[in-house]
Amino acid sequence: MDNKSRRDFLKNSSLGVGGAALAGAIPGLNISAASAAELIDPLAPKDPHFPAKIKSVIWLHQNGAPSTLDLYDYKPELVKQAGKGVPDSFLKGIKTSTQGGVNELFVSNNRSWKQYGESGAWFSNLLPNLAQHADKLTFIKSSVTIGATHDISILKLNTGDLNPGRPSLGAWISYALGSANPDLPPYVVLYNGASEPRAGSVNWNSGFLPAVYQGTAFRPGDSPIYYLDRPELRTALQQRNSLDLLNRLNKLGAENRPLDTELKARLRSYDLADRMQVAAPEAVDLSKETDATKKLYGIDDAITGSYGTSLLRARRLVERGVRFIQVVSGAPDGETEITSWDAHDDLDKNHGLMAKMVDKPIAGLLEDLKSRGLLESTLVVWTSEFSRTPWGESGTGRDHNPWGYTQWMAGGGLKAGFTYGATDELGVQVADKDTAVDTYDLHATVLHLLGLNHLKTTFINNGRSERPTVVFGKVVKDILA
Amino acid sequence: MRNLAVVLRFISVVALSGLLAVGSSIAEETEMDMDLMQTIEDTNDSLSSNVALEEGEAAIADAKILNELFGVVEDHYTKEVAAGGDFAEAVDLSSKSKKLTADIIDQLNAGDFESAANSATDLARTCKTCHNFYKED
Repeated sequence: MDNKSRRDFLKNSSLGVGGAALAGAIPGLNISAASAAELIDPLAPKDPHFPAKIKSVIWLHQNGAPSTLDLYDYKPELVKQAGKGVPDSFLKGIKTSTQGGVNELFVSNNRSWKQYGESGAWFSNLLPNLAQHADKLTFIKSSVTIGATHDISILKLNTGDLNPGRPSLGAWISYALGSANPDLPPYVVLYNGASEPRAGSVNWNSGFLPAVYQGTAFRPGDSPIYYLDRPELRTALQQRNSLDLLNRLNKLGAENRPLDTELKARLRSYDLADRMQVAAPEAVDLSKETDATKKLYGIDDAITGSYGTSLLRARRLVERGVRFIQVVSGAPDGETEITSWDAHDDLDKNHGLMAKMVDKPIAGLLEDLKSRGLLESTLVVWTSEFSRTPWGESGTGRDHNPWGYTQWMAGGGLKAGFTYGATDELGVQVADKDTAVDTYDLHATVLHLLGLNHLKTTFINNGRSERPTVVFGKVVKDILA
Repeated sequence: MRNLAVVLRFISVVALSGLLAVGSSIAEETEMDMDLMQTIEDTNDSLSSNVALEEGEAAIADAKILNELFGVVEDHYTKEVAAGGDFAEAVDLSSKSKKLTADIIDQLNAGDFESAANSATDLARTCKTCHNFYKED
């Protein structure tokens, strides 16, 4: 056997082994029935385990941990007890080791509450626009997590675990379902503000899954992906001509090596990059959106503009078949003092600005999705790494609370205008521990709505079968329609 | 190979817990934390994987090890309660865990991997509940 044929033999053998390994890696996905093309193209669409209720997810991470006691979780007893100490009975079973200690119960003098919609859901005066959509929302008022630093709890929010190295939820979804649009990545991350979100790409990476499933971060502004724009010194014709030449040479090379499927896969990835060069900027280009739509998202306003832009882009990505859009809240353009919801002091100032930044855009997103018939096939998840304590910190702020807080979802397959679970009378912790919903339960529920059984969405890493919910998650069946 | 390591650790832990029965309760509790709980966590991870892979024999072996180990944990905390310690929750949860491992063995013997996967998830959550309850500052 000469060198060339030996090399070809090894290459073809390794591909066969790789294909078999991939087949073994996805026992729950019936990959054995997949075509050779699917094995070559890891982003080829794959069938779910059972009929899906939704096609896309918009994951609204409220970075910095908003106080849901100041947004959704009205506590008359907290108002009555404000200024007093926290009774020991409320602290049973939790370890209050956060740095601020346990101080007197605190309420803002600026807070007022009202019920909205037929569901009668409570909203504070910080969210007047979102409150109009009360009957579209499914509240989970018994959310829990592990409260550590923001970075670690954000990692848990996105990957289900406190240790780096596990895939994010969006990566699992990309892996399990592939891409619904061959011109765009199935998993996109959006953010507003001057810098990348806290803790960065570890929150949208693919962990031990192949890197092709990681999220693609779209930067704010007109040029969403690094190095995708044509250099200014090259004309469009020059670039087209050189790409066409490259394509012809690649095809010649492929024709000479008809059995080299690795080469074909590589050429396909070049094609994708070429198509993305057109598709990605178009997907986030808002110039063809009407003024009324832009206004709906608050794009005409300095405080709501950048977040509204992210959410309108998210809707456009949903329309184009992107499976998972992770939107991380940043700060209004030009704002340098308040850059997240992390209100350890002066909660009124912080939440006054942050709530204003997200309230109108999220309300606009829900209204827009509904009017376009997309809300039934989309899941909007309002989530955070943890929330904040009912007791004060630094006089007018609140400390971290992982023991009981509110998140909500809206969209297909859910009981709309419904509340699941509750916190205790002061909002310290979950009232009934059997109703507690941890991050991996939220993940299991999102996967279920996408038609995926989290127990069967598996990947073999280091000889062990891994799943998105580590070893814990359960679907929150009570909120399903 | 991974299962062999777990089995070896299991044997050493059970032997250790037998020796500790005549030692001080503080020493016993410390050893419980360091070795036995780690073995339980590793075996539980292995069980979850083997159930997902439908490796019945290996999964049953894991479940049997866990059944034995939760018996050790239950006995330990029962003694602690008898000595006046506030460990009633730990007794209940280790007893529940032992029962779950027995259920898993039955489900695996019946070839019902789906029920076994759900029971294994319940088991992991029960462990977590106990660790949250007794978490130290």
